[in-house]
Amino acid sequence: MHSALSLSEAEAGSAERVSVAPVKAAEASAAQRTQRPQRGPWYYAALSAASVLVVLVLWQLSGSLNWIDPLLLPPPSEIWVSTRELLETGYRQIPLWQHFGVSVLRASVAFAVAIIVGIPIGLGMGLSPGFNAVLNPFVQFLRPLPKIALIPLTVVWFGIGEGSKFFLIFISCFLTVVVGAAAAVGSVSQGRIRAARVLGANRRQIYTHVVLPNAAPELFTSVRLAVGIGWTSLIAAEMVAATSGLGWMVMNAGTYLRTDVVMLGIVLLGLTGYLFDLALVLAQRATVPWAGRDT
Amino acid sequence: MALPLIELQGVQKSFATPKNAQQTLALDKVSLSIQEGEFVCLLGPSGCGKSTVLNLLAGFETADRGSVRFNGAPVNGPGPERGVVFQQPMLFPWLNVRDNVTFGPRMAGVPATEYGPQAERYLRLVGLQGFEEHAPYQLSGGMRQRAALARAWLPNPKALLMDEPFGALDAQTRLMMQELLTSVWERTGTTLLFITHDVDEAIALADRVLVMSARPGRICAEWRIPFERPRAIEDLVADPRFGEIKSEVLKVVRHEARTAVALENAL
Amino acid sequence: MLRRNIHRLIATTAALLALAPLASYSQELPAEVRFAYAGGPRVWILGKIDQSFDKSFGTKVRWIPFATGADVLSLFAAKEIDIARFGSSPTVAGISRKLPIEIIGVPEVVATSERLIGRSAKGVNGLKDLESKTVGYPPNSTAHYALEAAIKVQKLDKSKIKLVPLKPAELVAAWKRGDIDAAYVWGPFSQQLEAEGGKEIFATKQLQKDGYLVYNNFVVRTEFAQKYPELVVKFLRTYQEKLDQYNKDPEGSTVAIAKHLDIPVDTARSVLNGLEHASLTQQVSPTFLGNGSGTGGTTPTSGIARATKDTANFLAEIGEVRKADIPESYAPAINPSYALRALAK
Repeated sequence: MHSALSLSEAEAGSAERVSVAPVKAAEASAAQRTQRPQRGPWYYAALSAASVLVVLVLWQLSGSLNWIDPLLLPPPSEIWVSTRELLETGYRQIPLWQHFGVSVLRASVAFAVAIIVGIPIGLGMGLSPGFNAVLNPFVQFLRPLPKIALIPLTVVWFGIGEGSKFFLIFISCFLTVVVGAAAAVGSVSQGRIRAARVLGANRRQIYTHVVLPNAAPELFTSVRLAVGIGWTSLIAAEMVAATSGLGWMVMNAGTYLRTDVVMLGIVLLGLTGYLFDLALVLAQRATVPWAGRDT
Repeated sequence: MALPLIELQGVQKSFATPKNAQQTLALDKVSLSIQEGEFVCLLGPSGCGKSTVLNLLAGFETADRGSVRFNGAPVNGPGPERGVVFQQPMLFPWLNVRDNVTFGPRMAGVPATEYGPQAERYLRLVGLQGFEEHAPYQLSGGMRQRAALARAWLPNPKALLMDEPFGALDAQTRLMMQELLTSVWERTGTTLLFITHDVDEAIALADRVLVMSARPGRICAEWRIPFERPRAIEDLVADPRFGEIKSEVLKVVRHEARTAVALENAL
Repeated sequence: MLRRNIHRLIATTAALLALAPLASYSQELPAEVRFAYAGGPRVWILGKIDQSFDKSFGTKVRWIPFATGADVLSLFAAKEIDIARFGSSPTVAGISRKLPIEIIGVPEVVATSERLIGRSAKGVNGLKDLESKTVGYPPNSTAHYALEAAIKVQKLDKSKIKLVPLKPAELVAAWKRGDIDAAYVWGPFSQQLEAEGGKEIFATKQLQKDGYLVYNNFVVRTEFAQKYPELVVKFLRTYQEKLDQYNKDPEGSTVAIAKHLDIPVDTARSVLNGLEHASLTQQVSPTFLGNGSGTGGTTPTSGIARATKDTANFLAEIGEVRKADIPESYAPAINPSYALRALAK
């Protein structure tokens, strides 16, 4: 027997469907045997933590018990000792936080310029087939090029100062932003454009009020991707006659076989890249909360 | 009889299919006319061209032959006098409910003092008061479609073209949306062209029911629905005339559906 | 059918893998001896030209060039080379990190082969002019070491000097662009700088009076040396032969070397003259390796043992080597036994 449906009940999108027919006992137990038990999110988080712990323990043992030459793979204990030393005396007389800060600053400036310049150019390419035809060959050619290949040229053009480092990070970030922005423009659905036309929007209004806002979530995704790629170019950038920075620290420690410092540098580089991405994810959630949801 | 608000005469429309360079004839000399204030439902099997008729009237497509006239003038592009409600709500996710609903007047440059009270009225009519600041992703499917309805209706269109607007909703929500639609229509007197494949829905809602044939589409049958308004679906289904009309309509619709399937298999 | 093919593939691969160790056991000599060298003009290039090393070993020699001593450390760590001739400071850095290598010879003391070149147009005419200038150097090299030592000896304010790490070829490019005002590097790069408005303002030889010994040493991978001790002895002996050949006819040898490397004869001459060559006899004297106990290892008071300790301490001072890594003495890593045997026969 149906209960009288009220507006709110019918509109509750997540209302449970109550099954009416009784389930036979045999069927029920058979279903339970093949069914997976429900696990909360904490279970999987604990699983991840345990997995990391196991790897760390194996890693430490490999060094302490000499399964692997500690020169090639310093165990965590050694890295910890070096970290404490570096925190006290810095690397090459420069404090660790300063290396961190220099790299983050270099990257952030390059990212900001790449985004500010890249988004309008990419949007323009997406909106105007003529503009796209003019720029596209260069963008498509340069983007997959490994930026390390550009180092000799950048040194010749920009010298060994901050200019060449800025350029290398900028170019890898910029090209991805441009391509992403152009694609974001094209992804607007025909239905929404038609809805806007029916409601009386003219061409210019359709661009500013439909196409551009529609592109916003994808723009964020492109920026996240571009920043990730730009950050990985940091090492390439700091290979060019740097005297500080995390990438330089890794390269220089490598020449002295200080694999312990190299590993610390790698960990810091990874963590920082993760933090950049996290910041962007939070910004995305705040600015475009509808991204990725069914609407 | 007064000049029809909506008039199609001898309309022919072909589409090029991506597979073969040949053109497929979608509509073959379709003629229909709808008077102002009428509620007309268009039934037919999938692929028969119902949506094409709507697209022509909305101004999204142009006919190859024949004439498509609205309010005496030929149609040559979309406009707010012919509102459209799609099967998917097509709300703008970056705007809240109120900004979505008021999109039309805002684009036209109407001052907020003018459209504000009207917007509130429509929001109340569709039962979304209290949800004005919500974002579309926070609403259920039925609520979004209600907002789409309000959005299409706010610019005070002479006609509303609706392409299977309740097809994506569950059965109970659909019934409620039908009631909602009918009540707003009774208040505003807007001409409605309602496309559906649900025979019950067509008979319950319409003044007239038209059936389109399988491709290439023509209007092949028409019924005037005798029930008085206001109608209640629970009473309608008890009325013996309902069953008769439904049986007749179903015969035609199913015949066309079988023809459409045979066409598919032949290709 | 796919299953059968996969089985066949696995069987073939397993068979090949099983045979591989057989291939290495069946010989008493390695397939090739890999020797790392800097590309510049040196006495043993004579041995490369006439393949005397190959003949003496009875197997092929693969000559692997490197840009700076830092590269050699990576090659040793990856077991990609067996013998190398490179600078004292990178060697010490490597041994401090417990790289399994041994010093078996000291063929050259760096005298004027590595120099500090300054841009006279910018008024860089002496060490004291370095402050507030940009100086380039190859990281973890003897040139780097000499530069740091010179700054310390001259009591310059290091914080006022912009030190920029660049590989030798990059130094030349940076010089041409005007990015650096001075560079500490070896030939043929130093000559290229002199051709572009550079003037020598300091040479490593000048550090000797302050007690800094900067040299190039022969280093061998311990595992290789223990497996093929005869080859190591032959190596040193052949080197001595080439040194004799050079001393008998320095000009002719210089020309041959210059031609082989495709560099100007003047450049080759100035580099070769800039090295103080030590014969094997000199090398095993207490000034250098010392003659130890004859079975390997040397006394902590031998010249090289002391020099390595000094180098290590200095490197720790500039922060490149961990103090904790510096052993009591580097003597265990210095092995004059091969040189002694090369002399004996």
